[in-house]
Amino acid sequence: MSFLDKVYKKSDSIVFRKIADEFILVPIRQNVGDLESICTLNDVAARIWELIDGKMTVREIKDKIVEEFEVTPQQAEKDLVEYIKQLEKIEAVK
Amino acid sequence: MGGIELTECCNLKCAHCYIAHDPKKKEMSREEIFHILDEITDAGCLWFLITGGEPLMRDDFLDIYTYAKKKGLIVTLFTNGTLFTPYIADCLKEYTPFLVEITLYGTTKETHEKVTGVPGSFKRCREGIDLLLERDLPLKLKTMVMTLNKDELGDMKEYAEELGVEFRFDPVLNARLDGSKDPCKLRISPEEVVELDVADEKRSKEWHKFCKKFIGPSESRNLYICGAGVNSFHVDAYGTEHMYHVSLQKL
Repeated sequence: MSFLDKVYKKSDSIVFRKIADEFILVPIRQNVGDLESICTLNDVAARIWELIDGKMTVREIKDKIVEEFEVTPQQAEKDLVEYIKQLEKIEAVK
Repeated sequence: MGGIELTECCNLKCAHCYIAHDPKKKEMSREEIFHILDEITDAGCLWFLITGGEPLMRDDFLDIYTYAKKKGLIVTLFTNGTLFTPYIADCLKEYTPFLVEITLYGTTKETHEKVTGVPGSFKRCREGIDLLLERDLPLKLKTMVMTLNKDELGDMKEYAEELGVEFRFDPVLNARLDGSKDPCKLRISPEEVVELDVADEKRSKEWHKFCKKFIGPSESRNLYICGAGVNSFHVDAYGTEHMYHVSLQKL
């Protein structure tokens, strides 16, 4: 299956928080003592997190991002793939 | 950042405690606490302290703790350590806190229990410490230094070092919230406090840093010049919000 056809869902071990004007992902199971496990998201990353709903494919998310932000389809795809792989690595999505 | 007293109840009777528990007052229900946790996370609270009394006195402690964790709060827990069970420690391992601070009052049963007033509390405190360390949970130890235990401060530091955990002490005993000055009678003298601070490498360094920057008392007209009531809050066991845990001034 092409990566773009995959569907991801959020892990229940990560909580999305909006603190003042910042978006962060807080792991709720492991120790956040070193604070490095807390990720700060920019606007685009926060919107992608919102769109990961267990139903939308990566391709559909990419199309949404191209529609809503000033980015080329190629750049959106590159950044999206990298971001989702990072989220997978920290077990924020599966 | 903020904190909540889950309860004013405690299974110990510490001589220095500032809390004057009134058993007739009705404490918050679990649902009321959940509602507060919803409100504070909507308002942007991130760092959160659970304290008491002794928070593990509440039967619903784990429900409240995991609710706070699932809201994405970074949770610190203050406890006397005597009520941990393997089950509770396992639950904390599954939803690991940022930090647990256990208060120790001595390295001997005699001294510890002279402060806590409860036989058997020393053994149970040490067992609680062991339960957390066996699970590699983040733990710090601390003590309130007073006339009753000042002679074991050095031993407590050594004990913490042997366990590989950080240790801090606090000589500031507050009057009880019902106005009683009994806790104040247990204070060590200012000279003894200075002696302890100077002898403690970390505290001594902090004092040096502070003194280099200090140019005189603040000229602010505010009662509190820290973040109390501005970027921090404290909720008591009855749902009243205060600026600080020993402030009777309600927000």
